[in-house]
Amino acid sequence: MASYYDGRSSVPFLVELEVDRSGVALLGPVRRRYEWSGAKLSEPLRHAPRLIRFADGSHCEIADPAGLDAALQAVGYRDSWVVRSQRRASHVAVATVLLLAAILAMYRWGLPAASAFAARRVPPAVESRIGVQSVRIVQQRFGPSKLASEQRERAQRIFDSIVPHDGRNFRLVLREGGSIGANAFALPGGTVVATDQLVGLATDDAALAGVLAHEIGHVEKRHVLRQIISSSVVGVVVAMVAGDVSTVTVALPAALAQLSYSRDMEREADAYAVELLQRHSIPVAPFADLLQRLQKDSGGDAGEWGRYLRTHPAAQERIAAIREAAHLR
Amino acid sequence: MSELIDIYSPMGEAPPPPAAAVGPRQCRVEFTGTGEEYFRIWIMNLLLTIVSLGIYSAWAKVRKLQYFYRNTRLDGAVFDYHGNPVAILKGRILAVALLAVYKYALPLLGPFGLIVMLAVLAGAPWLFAQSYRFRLHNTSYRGLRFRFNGPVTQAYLIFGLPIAVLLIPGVLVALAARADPQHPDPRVVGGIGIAYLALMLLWPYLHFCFKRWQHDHAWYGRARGRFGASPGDFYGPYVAAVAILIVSAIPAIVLMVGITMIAAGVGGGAQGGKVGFGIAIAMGILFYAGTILVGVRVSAKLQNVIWSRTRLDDIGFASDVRAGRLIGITLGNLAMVVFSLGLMIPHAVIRAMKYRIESIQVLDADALGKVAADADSGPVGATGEGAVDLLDLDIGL
Repeated sequence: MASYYDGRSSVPFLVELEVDRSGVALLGPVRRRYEWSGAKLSEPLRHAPRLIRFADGSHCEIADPAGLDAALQAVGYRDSWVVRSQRRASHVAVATVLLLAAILAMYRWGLPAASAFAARRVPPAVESRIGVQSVRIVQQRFGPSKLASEQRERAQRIFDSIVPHDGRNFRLVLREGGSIGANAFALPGGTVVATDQLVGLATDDAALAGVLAHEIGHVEKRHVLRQIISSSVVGVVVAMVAGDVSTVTVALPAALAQLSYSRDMEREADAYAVELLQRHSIPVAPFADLLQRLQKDSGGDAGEWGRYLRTHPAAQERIAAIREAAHLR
Repeated sequence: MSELIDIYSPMGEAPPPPAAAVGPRQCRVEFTGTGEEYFRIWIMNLLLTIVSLGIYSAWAKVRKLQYFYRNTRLDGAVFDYHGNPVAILKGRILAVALLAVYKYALPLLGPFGLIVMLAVLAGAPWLFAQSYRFRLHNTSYRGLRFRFNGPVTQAYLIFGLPIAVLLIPGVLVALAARADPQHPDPRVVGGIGIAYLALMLLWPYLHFCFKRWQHDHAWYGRARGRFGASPGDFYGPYVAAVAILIVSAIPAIVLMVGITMIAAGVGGGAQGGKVGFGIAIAMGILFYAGTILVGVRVSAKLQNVIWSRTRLDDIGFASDVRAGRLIGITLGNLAMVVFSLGLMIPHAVIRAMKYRIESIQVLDADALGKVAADADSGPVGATGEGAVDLLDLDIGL
């Protein structure tokens, strides 16, 4: 038994269905016959009726899926593999595991590789364009440098000595750090910004070289660009998974993922810095010492929980990694 | 040789005998979906979508909506969704392109990027309108399709104000900051503040206009939707929400200041600072949670208002969502999702949806079975629906 709706009004007709290999026959107040070729059968659901949609816009709602199932099996009908798979709990369990594995693989390997690949494809002209905007923001945020001219020359000299000379546009910009104190960062397009306080604190030339080398590493590996690309993808994927859930709950995993990528990039920059320093025969130890001093000045690590919220790996970890990388050569 | 097999099965509810009714027969909507069943669909959808780098998402959406619609039962018949996955896919690709253009226009094209952004925004209300048309056209009940013909100009009026208020200040701020970053022009900042305030005050009215636009131009076969609420119906819940927030914020702030002072008194300034900071964060989180819950309350009250003032020709509706119950469900869902690390998202979705849907009643079920089909409603492109989906905007009925 089924309800038949003719598509011309909302009046239901109670009909009986007879199923055979070539089509469906309706018996009762409506007598009709439809071929299977023009009909669409809905997937079976546990509590919802099964629908057969016919080519002329009418359809049937069948409240007893079991009876229909038996009939369909007898005439050799099979559901799509997705639907069949879904019905077996074991398949669902496998799908769940596969899903988690796929997400994990993408997060750990797929996305970083993809964004690195994409970042390499971005033409330098475009990258410098992005950088130009950032430089302007930096120039507005931080006042012009107040260092003595010989300090500025010293910094520029050290920078020029380690910067790769392959035609790319590296340049050093010194600004007054204000509230952020001793710090340095890299902008896309090859601009490295360092604050007065950092130059002042890094009295040892080798230490300053280390910090600048680290920032050059960010530029070399196009980290900022990668961050931009990967954060967009993370955002989209998380939105897809969460779908109907509030965006707030979703923001947290996305942010954690981003921070973890950020820490990886910092480690990469550190490794690059060590390699660059050694290539120019500059001692690495002062760089590690400077990091130590910076950490002490900023009040120490925040402890266990802080690990996941940091954009940089913990200072101790970085220092240890740097020292170890230096001793390997 | 074919086998003829008769199918005998009892129907869920036979249509009632006519006449001799005391008054119009009321009927409550039922939702028969379960979290467990939806989980299977959801997991398969997610896996195939990720593996196909998003292409399957259009098919996933069709399966999801068909699951929800076909499990929504009214007077023995169910709804159905007819969206074409290929059309939805095209819409999504367009949406991704637009989003990328919008996001990267400014960094890549400089000032010209601003014009591009505004062009994209200018198309947004049209996309909304299209999306709603598509969604409704692909919804059917008892073989009759729904239809929507709300004028796009109204969409621009309704969405134009929020878009303008939310974005143009950002542009102005950027321009003002360019001139003097440390001290942006106070008049500009003041102007922006006033614009935001205006938007907040007008928000309930805009919401009213939006629902009226949706329901007044919706058709079921030949039956036309009518929206009879007034703006005041919308202001009520919103004003109550703001009042609740203010009233609960005051003791919270007092508590926070008090604890900070005590901590400072006991442990010294630095200790007080740390404690104060911690408490501020905790309060911030609580306040944010509070706004969400208050928002749930608003949405519950508004659902009741909207449905009780909507008619389809002569058929009336009713809704009896209880705010307290909905808040409880929301909190429970949050706990479920967090503790299952997201695996119970489908259960949470079903739980909330079931309560909302089953709160709706039709006040004249017999009339619902006597609607004639509309003359001709041609196919509607899915561009709109795909786009709005990606932008994660909820246009709920």
